[in-house]
Amino acid sequence: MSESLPALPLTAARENLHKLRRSMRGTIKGKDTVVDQVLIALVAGGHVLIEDMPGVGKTTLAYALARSMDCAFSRIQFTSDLLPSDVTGVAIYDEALKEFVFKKGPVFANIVLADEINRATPKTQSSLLEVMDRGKVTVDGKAHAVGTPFMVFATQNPVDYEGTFPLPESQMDRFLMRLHMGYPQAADELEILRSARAGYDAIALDPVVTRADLLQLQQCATHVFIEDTVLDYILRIIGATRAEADFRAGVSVRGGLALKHAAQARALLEGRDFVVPGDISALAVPVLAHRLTLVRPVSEGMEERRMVGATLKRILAAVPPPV
Amino acid sequence: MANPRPQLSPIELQQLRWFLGGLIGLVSAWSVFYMEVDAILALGGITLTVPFFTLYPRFSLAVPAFVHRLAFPLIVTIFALDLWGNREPLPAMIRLDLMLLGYRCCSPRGPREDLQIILLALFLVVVTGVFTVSPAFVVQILFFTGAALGLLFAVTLSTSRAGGLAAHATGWERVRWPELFRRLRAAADLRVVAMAGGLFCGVVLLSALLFLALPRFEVSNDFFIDRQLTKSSRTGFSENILFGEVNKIAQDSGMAFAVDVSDPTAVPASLYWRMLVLDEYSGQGFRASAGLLRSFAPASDKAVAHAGPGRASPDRTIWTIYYQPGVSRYLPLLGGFGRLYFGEPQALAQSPALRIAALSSEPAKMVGYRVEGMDGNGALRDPLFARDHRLPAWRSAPSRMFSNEETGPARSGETGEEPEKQPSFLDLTGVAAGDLAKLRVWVSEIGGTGAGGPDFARRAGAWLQARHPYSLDSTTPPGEGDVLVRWLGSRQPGHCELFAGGMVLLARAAGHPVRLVTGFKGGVWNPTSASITVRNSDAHAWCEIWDEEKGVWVRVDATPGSLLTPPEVPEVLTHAGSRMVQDAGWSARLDGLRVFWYRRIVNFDQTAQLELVRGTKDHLLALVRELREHVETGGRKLVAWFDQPWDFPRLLVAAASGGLLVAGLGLWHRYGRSRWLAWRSLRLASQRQEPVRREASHWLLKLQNRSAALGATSAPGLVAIRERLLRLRFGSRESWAPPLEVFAEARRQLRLLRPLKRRKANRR
Repeated sequence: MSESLPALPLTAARENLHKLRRSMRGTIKGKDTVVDQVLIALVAGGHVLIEDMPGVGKTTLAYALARSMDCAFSRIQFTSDLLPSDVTGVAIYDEALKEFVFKKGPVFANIVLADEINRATPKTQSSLLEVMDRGKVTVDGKAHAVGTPFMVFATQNPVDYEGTFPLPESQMDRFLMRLHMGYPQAADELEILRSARAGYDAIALDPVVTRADLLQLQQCATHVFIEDTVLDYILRIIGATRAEADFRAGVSVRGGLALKHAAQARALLEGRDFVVPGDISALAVPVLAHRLTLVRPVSEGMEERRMVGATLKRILAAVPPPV
Repeated sequence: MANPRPQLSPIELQQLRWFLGGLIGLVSAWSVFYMEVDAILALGGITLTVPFFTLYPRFSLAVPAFVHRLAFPLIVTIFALDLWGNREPLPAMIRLDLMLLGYRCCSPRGPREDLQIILLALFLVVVTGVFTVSPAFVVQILFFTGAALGLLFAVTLSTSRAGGLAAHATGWERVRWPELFRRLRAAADLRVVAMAGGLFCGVVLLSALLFLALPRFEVSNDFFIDRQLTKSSRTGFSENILFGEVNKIAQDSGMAFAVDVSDPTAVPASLYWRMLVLDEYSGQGFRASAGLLRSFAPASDKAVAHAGPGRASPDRTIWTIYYQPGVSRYLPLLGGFGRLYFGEPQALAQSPALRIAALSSEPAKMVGYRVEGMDGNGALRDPLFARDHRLPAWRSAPSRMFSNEETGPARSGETGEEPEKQPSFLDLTGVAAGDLAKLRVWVSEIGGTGAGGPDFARRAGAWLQARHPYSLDSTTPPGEGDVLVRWLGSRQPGHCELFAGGMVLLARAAGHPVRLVTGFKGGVWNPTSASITVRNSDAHAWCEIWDEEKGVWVRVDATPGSLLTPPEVPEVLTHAGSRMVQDAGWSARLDGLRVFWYRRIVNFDQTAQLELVRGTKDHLLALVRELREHVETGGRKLVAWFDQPWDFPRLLVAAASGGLLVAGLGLWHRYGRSRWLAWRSLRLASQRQEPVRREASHWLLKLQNRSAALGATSAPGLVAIRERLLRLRFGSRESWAPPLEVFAEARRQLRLLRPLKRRKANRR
């Protein structure tokens, strides 16, 4: 970590990220911050959960990302009758070979869109735990590696709770970030309306980075330097969440690591080979908020998220960044 | 974090405890050497066994169990017999402590037994400190405290690790000391050790400052323990001195007393510290006759201040004497004194006629006393003796010759009682008739019998010195009769007692009243403590002969190399340190420390406290004065130099100096500062105090505040320098641009903002 990046990889990484950013911004209008956050999650090797109302562009964002890269993409529509084997794959008996052959599920791709993930049963949701954590699927005692890079792009509707199963905390902790799309600005929305595009198949994007480029980007991010006082800043934020009376439990160690990796990726996206405290404060809410729950539960999901976010911002204001 | 610090195992902690316990026991036991306690057996045993068992702990496990069963009853029995036999509880308790300590140090121990060792050792160290008031106590208590804290720390660690080892567990006794100390070194965090040492020193310093600052008040030393331990006189200055005893004292080089003089210029050229006056010749030596002893007034009540027989002297010199224990109960004085002050109330017996003062008993610890108006002249006036000496009956009844007012001859004659035995300074009753005849022959040889005492003494001294060389290693010739007469008749070398004794016999035979005086002569100047050190080796004997003409006792020192007679007026005074023999060796430095201990700790009363405050103030004022003088002198010289006409060499010197200064500053800015920053950064990186990052942070804040206030955050120059500063602040060290260049650029960018600032101010 103390090593600085060689000039060429840093320049190349910056260029590739700019290409990706340009490509996605061309499709997703007026959502530059969300686009950047998705890219950060991608470079940090994390998974993203997008929560928002239907029809604000969650799935389009996933498609835009997948089609901007030369990577395998698959989409799983989570429903209540979806089985784990429908996600991970299943071993079937091959008459010709006289043995069980593993048939890979849709999770075997580089970008997996888990649409409306909270509609599946907890059992099916849990089938993603191993693959999100280790990038492997174990069926009949045999581990099968999914492709690298691997990113789960899950979406869920925070308002419509009818027939849904809230994601458990262990599952939420596997996501690097939880993002919100929000409605676009009027000018952006007008441009969307003017476009003649219809349906996801109309998203015609040329891949701007290869799979190898993406792996190199991820590798570069791990080499971004973090000074000790910045690490100390992360520790102080995490410590403050653990000491906060409104939270049932503070941020886990995995949460701290996630914040660090995300900050490294953001620094790379900004063209730096070192992290500044601004990277940490900018990513604290999207990286940490979904890992925290209130002591007094709020029935309305959006309200709880808003309260958690407000408390986290208060903590960020109270913890001075290193200068 | 790659190599975590190792931790000592329970077995190693047990070995460490064993070592520390043995060390504490041994050192504290040795403190008994400073006391007059008959414990040579126990001390010898401990000195031999404890180091052996400490170094080879396996032998402690080989001791049969019945020995441990019998040990305690045996020790208690010995203690009971000791107490019953000697009737002295404290020495018996000290011996008991030694036995218990020795046993504990040699037998396997658990944490409880370690604590017992600490308590037993503490008892010994504290008792020694209280009774001896020795500077060694400081060293011992400091060592003990450190070692005891270490032992307690080891015990705590040992018990906190899986309950520690049982007292009789095995495995720990196979100890390899070098390996253990290597492990100890690896396990010890030097920063923590240094911090602990610093804290310890800080506490000691604070205690010392508190001690110095606390107001003094008098506490009597009438505690019951005061006389529990008596120390017999080591030097032998008593009322009955046999030939050779003073000489024996002179073989000891230990310090007898130290003297602080308020005005070193007032120290006489020859210092004769009078302690005892002896009149009666016994044939084997001299002793104080009963009559002489009666000249002592009864001992006064205990008091701090005592008036003396000295005449009122305009001399304001204050002599502070730190008198070592074991010398004598008679106090060394130069002569009469005006007032004498003790640190603690003391009973003092005085003989105003003899100018002798004595404590009621030999001090067991150092006694400090301050003397004012001390007469250092060698001639002692005695008007009463002068009056009695002129009585017609004096020569026929020399025993009536006594100057004490209370026991004067008239009173005893009037009462018709048997006259009290009086001191006789002409007494030769101890000399046989044949020897007396020899003395008369030698007196006629010497001549000058009609002259005064001092004249005769001068002749006799020359006669003695012509016949006898001086030697500390001298013996009296064999034969029958009086030993001193035999020596006088021989040509053998002699020491001070023989010369002084011979002078007494010759002077008395010639009819001059004379007396023998014992004490110390001289001393050396100790520059470490700025005091006079008088050692036992300075022990001396001389005479005082009556000068009938002047009515004074005149000091006569017949020993070769000494003054025969003192000058009649005080000698020309110079600073003692510039005239006396100086001793700046290691022993003198240790003596200096001892004097410091006495001066500032033991004898630190209100007067000393005031002296210290005054001394500190004077010293500081002198320092400030000196500094000011230096600055003023330097300034004057500089001004004078500038005032001189400017010729070419001076211009050259000025230009060269200026050039050197500028070059030095330039070099520092160009190379030195960056190297210094880099070095400091590397050094302090682990402590997160890298100066480069700190300075970068400083410039970042400055830029941020200034540009935000002026609304110029997006100026290209500012953005660029901000990125460079951010890299210095948060980037890896390898990616840094030269820090000083970045800081200089930041300074330049800030300067560029000044017009903007001015414009904004003008608009406002």
